[in-house]
Amino acid sequence: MEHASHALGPVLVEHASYLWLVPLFPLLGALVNVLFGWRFERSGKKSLVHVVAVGAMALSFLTAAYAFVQMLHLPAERRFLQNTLWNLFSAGRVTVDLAFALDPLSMMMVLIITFIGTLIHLFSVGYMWEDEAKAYWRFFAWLNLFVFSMLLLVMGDNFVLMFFGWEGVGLCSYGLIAFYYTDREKAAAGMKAFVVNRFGDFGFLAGLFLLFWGLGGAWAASCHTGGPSYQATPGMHSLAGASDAAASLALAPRVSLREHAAPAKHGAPAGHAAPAEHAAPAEHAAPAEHAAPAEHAVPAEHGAAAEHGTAPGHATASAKGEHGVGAQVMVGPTLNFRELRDQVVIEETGIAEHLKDQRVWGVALLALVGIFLFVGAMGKSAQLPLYVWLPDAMAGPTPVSALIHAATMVTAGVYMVARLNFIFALSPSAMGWVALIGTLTAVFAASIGFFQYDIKKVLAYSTVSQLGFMFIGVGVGVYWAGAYHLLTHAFFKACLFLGSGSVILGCHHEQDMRKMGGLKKYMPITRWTYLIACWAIAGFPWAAGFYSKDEILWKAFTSEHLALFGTATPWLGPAIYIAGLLAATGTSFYMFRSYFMTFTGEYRGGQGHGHEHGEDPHASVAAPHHADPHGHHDAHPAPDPAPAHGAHGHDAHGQAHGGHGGHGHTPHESPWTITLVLVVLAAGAVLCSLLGLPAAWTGHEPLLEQWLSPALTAEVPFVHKPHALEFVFQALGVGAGAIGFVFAWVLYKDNKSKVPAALKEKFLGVWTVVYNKYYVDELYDLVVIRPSLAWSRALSWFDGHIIDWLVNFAGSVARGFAGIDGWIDKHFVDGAVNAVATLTIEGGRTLRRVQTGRIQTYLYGALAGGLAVILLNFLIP
Amino acid sequence: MLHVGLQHFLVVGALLFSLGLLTVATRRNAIGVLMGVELILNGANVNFVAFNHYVTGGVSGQVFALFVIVLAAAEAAVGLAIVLAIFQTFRSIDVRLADTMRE
Repeated sequence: MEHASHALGPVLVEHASYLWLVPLFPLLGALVNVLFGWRFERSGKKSLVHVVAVGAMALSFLTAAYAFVQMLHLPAERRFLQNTLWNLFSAGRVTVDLAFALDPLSMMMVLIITFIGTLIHLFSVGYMWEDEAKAYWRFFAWLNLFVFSMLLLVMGDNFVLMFFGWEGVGLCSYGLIAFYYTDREKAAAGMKAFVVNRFGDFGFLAGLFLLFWGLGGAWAASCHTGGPSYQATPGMHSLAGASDAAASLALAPRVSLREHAAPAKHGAPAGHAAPAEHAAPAEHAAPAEHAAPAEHAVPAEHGAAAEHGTAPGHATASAKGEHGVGAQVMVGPTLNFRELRDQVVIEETGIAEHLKDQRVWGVALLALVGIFLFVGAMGKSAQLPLYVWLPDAMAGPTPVSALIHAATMVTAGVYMVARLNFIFALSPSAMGWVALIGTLTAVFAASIGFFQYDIKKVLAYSTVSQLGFMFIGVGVGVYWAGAYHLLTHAFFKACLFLGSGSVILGCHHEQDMRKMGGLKKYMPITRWTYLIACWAIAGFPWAAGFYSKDEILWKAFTSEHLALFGTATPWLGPAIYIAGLLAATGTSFYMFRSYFMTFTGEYRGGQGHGHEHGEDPHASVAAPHHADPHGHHDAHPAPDPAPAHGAHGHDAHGQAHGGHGGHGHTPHESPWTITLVLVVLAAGAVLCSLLGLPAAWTGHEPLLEQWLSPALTAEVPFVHKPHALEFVFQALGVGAGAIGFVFAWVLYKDNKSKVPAALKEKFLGVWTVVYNKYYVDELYDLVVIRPSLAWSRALSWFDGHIIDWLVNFAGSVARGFAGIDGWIDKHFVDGAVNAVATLTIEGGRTLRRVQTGRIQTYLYGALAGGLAVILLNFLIP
Repeated sequence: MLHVGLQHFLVVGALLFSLGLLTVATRRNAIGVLMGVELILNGANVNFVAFNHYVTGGVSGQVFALFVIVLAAAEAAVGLAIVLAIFQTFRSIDVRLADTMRE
């Protein structure tokens, strides 16, 4: 198998000075709402809060769209927008800038975040307006801050900014899960999410440190081979682009350059494998050639040169990539993604070779790095075994679940793996690990989804499962498909979550599907959009989920690159395929189960649990629509097309229109802000399919693959199989979805079948285990929480008894010494001081008698003095 | 025949000085004190003149004596004015009573 046959050049940078505006708008929105939101709310201008928040999001999206258009106009290999604001800090040879970058991958993420973010903000206007927490501004401030952090994570040009965003989204996630913080359980869910994410972050940091530890040796080596002659030569710091290189060729053709140029066209042969020696002659040649065209080259490269002027210690190596003859890449310490990618990808630098050879305690360094980085992804993207926080995160408001816990934040791990594809691709073990965990998670979470009754919990486990699919994608090396599934999932899962939000709102904050049913009659728009999203997630053609999932599974099957713990495992790909197919069947089953339970049959709510809605805030939303005499017509933003609302449980209202009392909990369709968003998202879930029509259908690469290819350069080998087989596999995928659908249809359509109950009775043991999520939370409780509590109690005892005793003992000793010291001070030191004072006073009292005021007394004194002088004159010879 | 020399003048000067000093030290009457001061000054004058005549020659001693006489006149004027002020304040010119500047 030929590997890495392409010689890759450095990334070519296009400067876009407006990129910083994209994250700025949400930050400003958050600031305004933090500082003034409560005043808006108190002074009756509550709508200003969402005007600010949604406006900020819309502006951010427009800026991102502008960047997208600019990127579209660039040639594929130059699609890298960069915007450096200022230097954050420098440490030795490493400089860290506040800089934003967009390559096709992060561009896709930014568009998802800002577009779906805007929609979800809009949805929240209708959803949160009459919320019980009475903190409209707090909600939107957190939400805007989240978007800012997420954009920082995605757009940050270096690891520092990415990590900042990584932690920021965790913080905002915590704040939004625990949004109803007066409820202990929900507050605890927020803490759980935060703490579990800390575990992941520890892995992420450990991975980064290991990576840079490994790179440190490589950089030191490169300095050694580079030698001092590499440093600070003007022009060497420029990343000469293709046109510049062509210009320099035309103006000053050199044999040495052509030599390096020739192999690039045909793919670098193995003869150039010795990197250090190779870099040196090219490097010495370069300054001489660049001398002539320098005047022409400098203006064009000015930005690049200025940017890199801050990194003085870089040695550079000449790259012979197809992007530009004589293009150069700096070799040296960096935290910048692009520079690191250049150094690792371009073989002449020798960095990749160096990394591959390193071992830590007998384990390949890169495998460790990949595993640790993936632990970070496990936390953020809720993979086994750190997924436990995500189902609990459903305690937050539903828009939060849609935005953070389905569309954006939880995909950060997938994004990170895709972003660092050049690292992961170097280590089959790391990739195998990622794919394996993804597979296990996909199957495991899907099976939990079977028996959940809380509609949001079903979607949460579905999200975990779908994230597993994404990790299969990025794990087996088909990065674009992982990213594609991320995109399609963002649409259909946001649609599903918002649909569930609409249902929850319509059913007066009821989340239990057993108390729903028959809603298609009351909520037609929600029903159709939910159905379309189910269609998409279940993997039926013409909705987006099919294309992304099938591409992932197909590539998993044909993958032969994977390894585990250093041993190649060719069986892993097909095993992943089979497990993935099972998970897809399960996905289809539980999604259609949730659809049938919610929207078909008879409505089961509103009977026998009216007391639960005694505090239902929605009753007060409903009231104004009945022309009641209580008159709060004014503050209702979203026209609510609800036909009839109950005021059941509200005595005052109930009497005002007793006619409605009979069907007091009739569900109702949601306001237009909600349904509009649902429709847009459902349309997106279908239209996204156009981006990923497989090559087997159209004969050319999917649009998204073309788009992402400049960013996802890692080459992972796949076995070539005939297209016919691909069709068979697609049919299998559809069949899997259909099986799930049929089961759901038979068992849950109209909720008439008695089979589910019978099956439940028969397999009660299994049902109980799965229904209780395999007791994983209990396992955590037993293995992690109780020991750590016991440990903390032990430490507390140690602290309270041993440490405190020591401290108290030390205190007593000190007090004793202090007593002695005080006595000495009082009697000796103070005595001496007082004695001096007394002496002075007494002396003065005595001496002042001399001052009689009588002139003759003084005269006697003068006489006595004079006589004494005379006497002394005689006495002293 | 007793020859009058420098020593005789010096004795007279010393006597005048000592008597003046005694007067200043013992008199309670402020006028008496002033008169004692005059005696002291004149004792010094005698010395000036005598030393000038017997030792140095010239007229510088005499000139000094004249300055001292002028000074004594001025001093007497100022002193009497002070005595007057003391009398107006204390209704007496006893120097022992004018002791409010003590301590």
